[in-house]
Amino acid sequence: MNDTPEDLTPLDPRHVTVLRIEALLAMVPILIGAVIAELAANLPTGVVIVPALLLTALFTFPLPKRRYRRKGYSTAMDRLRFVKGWLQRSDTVVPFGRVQHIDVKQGLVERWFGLATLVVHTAGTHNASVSVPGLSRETAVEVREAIAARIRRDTM
Amino acid sequence: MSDPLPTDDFRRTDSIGVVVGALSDLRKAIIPGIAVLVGLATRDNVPMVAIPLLIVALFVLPPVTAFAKWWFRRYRTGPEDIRVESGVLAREARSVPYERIQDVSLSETLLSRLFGLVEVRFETGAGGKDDLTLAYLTKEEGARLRDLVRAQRDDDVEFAPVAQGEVEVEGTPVFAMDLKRVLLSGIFSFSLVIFAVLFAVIDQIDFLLPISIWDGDFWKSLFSEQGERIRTLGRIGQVGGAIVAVMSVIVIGMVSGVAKTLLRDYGFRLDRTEKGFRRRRGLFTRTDVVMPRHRVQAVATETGVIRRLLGWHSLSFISLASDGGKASHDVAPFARWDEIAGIAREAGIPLPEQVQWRRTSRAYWIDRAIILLPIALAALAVTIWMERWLPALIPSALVLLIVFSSSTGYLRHRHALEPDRIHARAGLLSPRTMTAPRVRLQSAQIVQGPIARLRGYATLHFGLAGGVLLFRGLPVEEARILRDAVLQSIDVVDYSALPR
Repeated sequence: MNDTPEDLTPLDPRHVTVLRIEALLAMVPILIGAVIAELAANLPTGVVIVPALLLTALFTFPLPKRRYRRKGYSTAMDRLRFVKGWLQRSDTVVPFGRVQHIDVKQGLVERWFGLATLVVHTAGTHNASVSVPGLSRETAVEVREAIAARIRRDTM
Repeated sequence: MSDPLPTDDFRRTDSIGVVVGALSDLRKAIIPGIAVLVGLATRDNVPMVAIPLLIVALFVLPPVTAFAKWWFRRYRTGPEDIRVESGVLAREARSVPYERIQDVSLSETLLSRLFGLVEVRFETGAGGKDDLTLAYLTKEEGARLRDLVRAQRDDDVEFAPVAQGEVEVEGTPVFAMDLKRVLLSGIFSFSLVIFAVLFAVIDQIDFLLPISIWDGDFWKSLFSEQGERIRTLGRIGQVGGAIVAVMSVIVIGMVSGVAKTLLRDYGFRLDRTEKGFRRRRGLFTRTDVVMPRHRVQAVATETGVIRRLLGWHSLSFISLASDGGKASHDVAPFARWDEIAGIAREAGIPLPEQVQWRRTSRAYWIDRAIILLPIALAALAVTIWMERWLPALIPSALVLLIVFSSSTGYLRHRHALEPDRIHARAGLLSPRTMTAPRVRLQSAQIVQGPIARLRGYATLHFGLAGGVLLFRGLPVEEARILRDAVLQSIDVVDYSALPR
């Protein structure tokens, strides 16, 4: 499905940094666990810590960049389209007219970088909510307004 | 927070709500708190910090969090939507357009009632946990919001909630089942649940009985006594006895199936009323359900192998409303194809008649077998290697099952696209079909794993309110065509105000 990347808008580049920080934060408990395991089991230094560090490095440096490159969104033709995934590639389309309500979420890390996640809720049982992360706050609000305007227009 | 919109009319929920929030948190924490205190009191070497910490956790945190939550939660009723912003560190701004609000409910808890406060819930088609709630507001403010929402959609006649059993108007009968047909349909709902019930009953009252069903000796003595008798019967007697035993189980299964169906479907009748469909059924507890026509999201048919040979099918409606725990509404449990086709046409979703069914990708089913087979074969190899012959039956059955389901999967799954509808069909001897109007679909998702990308197939998942419409193993091109066709239909009409 690599034929249409040109129609997709890439996410905000700051999203990579956010992904890195989130990955790092997620790895902290594992790193602490690795240190404790080594101390407790009296293993030679580095047997557990080094692989854990390597894993952290992998999750923090190359993977976020790759994940970022595979993500993209589009709001063309009054449809919200979000593509993501490297191994498991998914391509979701929600027509604006099918949106029930809209959230603009900001996690702690996202907030530091002025980013936001747009969540649209639909009436469907599958894809009841579709999240588009890594938008700048302004873009997220813009898209929200566009969807709200479309919903308004439809019913007038 | 910098908001491009005017923030002057943002307001907080009622301040007394903090007290209610804190008190209800406290109420939840008090029992475990006491338990922990008692636990600590019975120990000797409790660190000195534990008790102050506990007191802080119990009595200081709830008010503080309730206050913080209240302070950071703001709402605003704008010209187009209701907005709520919440969250202390992670912020969330929710926007609910008035057009999407289907109902506003005000609810009170015991605590909020003491302070004259209400919780306001705005229900949208997204349903359930993702609804917008405002806790707590004064009753006046709650009523103001409700009236505001109602006024915004004043012209919308459909806003009047349709209560079940409220409609007294007799509609035109669409479908009814006489006693004969109910009994006949009962025969097909063969059920052995009676044995489970009997077992459970005996288990409950076994203190009254001279025997215990969990006692191995009881069964052993029963078999040895009876076994002696069976042995003396001779070959014909034994075979005859076995046949009688099997027959009696079948008869019991049929009788209980008939009884169950009779209780549920006695006097089944479906009427077409002004608003939709009205279904009445039941022997002792008669249920009366009204299903608005515009809420029908899709129709599904089902049959069995023998039922199909004899020409019997069943039809159900899929909607967001649930029918006694089931998501779909039975509208014709046992009917001829013409009859269910008539009902489906009445609902505005005709069943597939002369459509060109298309098949899934062969590669998908081949790959499925290739991926799953080694696992089952490995399990089989292990059991054989360990010379456990009886357990080996399970993996070998699994192998057969995988080979069978994968090799027939291609034949079983079909789909068809019509200008206004999309059909899915699964099953060979007893096919199930699902027909959904294209405009009623909510979203479309194409998913491809690495193998799927390599081999050129994909899974297409449509969002359907109240049901699942999923196409596995479609050729990629086909998946895209289906998706684009559906999206194009959606562009033409906006029906999203309908799923409720």
